[in-house]
Amino acid sequence: MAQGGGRIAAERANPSGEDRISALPNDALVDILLHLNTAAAVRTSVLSRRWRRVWTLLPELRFDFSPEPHPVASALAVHEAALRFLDVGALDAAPESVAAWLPVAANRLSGRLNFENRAPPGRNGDGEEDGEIGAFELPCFKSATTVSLDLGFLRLAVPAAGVFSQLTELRLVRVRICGPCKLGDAVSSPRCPCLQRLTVHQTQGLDNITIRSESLLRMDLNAVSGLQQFNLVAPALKELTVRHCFFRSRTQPVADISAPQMVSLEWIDAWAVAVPTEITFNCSISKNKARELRRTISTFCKAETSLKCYMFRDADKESAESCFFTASSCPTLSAVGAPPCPQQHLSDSAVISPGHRDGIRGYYGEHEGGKRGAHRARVSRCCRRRRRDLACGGCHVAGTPAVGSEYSEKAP
Amino acid sequence: MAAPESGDGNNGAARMVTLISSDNTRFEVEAAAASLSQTLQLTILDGGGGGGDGIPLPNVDSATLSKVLEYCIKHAPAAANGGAPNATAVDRAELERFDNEFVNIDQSVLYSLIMAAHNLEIEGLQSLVAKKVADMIKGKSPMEIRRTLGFPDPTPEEQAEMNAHMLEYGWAYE
Repeated sequence: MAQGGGRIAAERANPSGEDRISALPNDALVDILLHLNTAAAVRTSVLSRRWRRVWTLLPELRFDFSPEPHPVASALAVHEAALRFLDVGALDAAPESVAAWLPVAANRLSGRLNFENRAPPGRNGDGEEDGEIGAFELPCFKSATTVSLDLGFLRLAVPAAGVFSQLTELRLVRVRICGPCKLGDAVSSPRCPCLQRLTVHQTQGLDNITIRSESLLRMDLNAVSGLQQFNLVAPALKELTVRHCFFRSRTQPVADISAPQMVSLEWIDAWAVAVPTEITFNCSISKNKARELRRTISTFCKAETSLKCYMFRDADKESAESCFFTASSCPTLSAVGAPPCPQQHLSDSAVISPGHRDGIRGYYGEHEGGKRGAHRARVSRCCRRRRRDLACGGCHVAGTPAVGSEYSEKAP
Repeated sequence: MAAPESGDGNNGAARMVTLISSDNTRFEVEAAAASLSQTLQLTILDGGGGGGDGIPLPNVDSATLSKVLEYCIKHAPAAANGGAPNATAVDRAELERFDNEFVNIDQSVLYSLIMAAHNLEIEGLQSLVAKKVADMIKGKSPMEIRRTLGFPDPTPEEQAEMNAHMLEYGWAYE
């Protein structure tokens, strides 16, 4: 840069006689580049030799949505500094191209990774092309704290070894998960000792989630397609959300949840009437805590019949044969059990066993034609509670939960 | 951080400190404002800068320092509130208006401010001036950036290097 002709040109362009910006220290230049996306930051490297490697010192890299071939791998190959944030957008990425940079990122990243791959419209993970699309392995993020992967239904192999020692938050969305290891093993305490938040949405290939975690505080499962078995032992867990995970089950799904500290539970699901489901909650919540407990357990099925769902109080193991749900050792969890049953069974005492009749405080209704009053009357008849005392958690359009509808319990 | 005398400025009249620029101009300013500088904060917490002593700033000239202090005095009340939470929308809008006007300055002043904000570690100011330069760069081709930032025109040799580089990083130019 220090050349005679350059000086004359500089005087012409800039009254101060030099490009003073280039005299700034690297840190100050990095501050400037932090306000640009990574492509724009990389473009500054063409300005002069002084600027050539400034962008490689950026602690954060942000790649806008980009088609193949994706630049992350070549950028990471040149990038030098410690990475605290990596944000990558891809358009219909190939598994090989993700496999080319993800392990490098896993080695380098000390903070957050956010990767979103936009799949072409129509791909929803249901396709028959499973065998054709290769899988890539989830690399072991040894020092990343947050990993969010929205893969557009790419296949992700869960590694059999490796400890995610700093990971506090893991989010997997639109992922087809495959072996060799079960996801539950990878995110349980031995391999994810700090994991506090786990989010799994719209995934395929997870028929069994078995997690034992000392650190987990919040867990959110949504549309985990084909889930058959869900076992959770999480002594610190505060919030659990399970939505639309079991509805495709062809055999009896099982859930067994031990979360004694749970303060918020939302359970919304639907499945064929023919499939009995057993869900056990082991929540030894104190009476005081139970009052604070905000919980919703609702379930409804997609059968053609109208009213699907009832809320029970003080359900116990003896009622299991008449109720698809079981709540055991859970005397204070007042909203348990929601037997999806055809409307015609509602007045049948075999469905609502005598022990439960006094316990019904309200119900979730799902029906065609908006005949809420009729349901209330029917529930009222079979539970011997006056109609006006029954709380209705809201009515659902078949198969879809009403947003914000919540069972509100009346004071005993 | 244990200070021999209280430096939090909450007891009695606002404590003043004196800053001395590289050209020996003395600026008397409230300790709270000067403490926006992480570098100065430690000295001030240790009781420095009061009385006739003053804190010498050999890297900051008086023109730049007066500009820096203009920023600090304006932002000190909001910073004392712990930032935005208590500020009203009017206060925030006023600060934003001030900031926009504040960086509407010659490039040479801007770079002096960057250096000063950097040396004094004034986080808000660092971000403000960096963003100003980033806005000057945004959406421009390399040649346009060079002109905007007052780079000399490239020599043929540099031009060849630039072209090679643009080829290598083609993805960044799409």
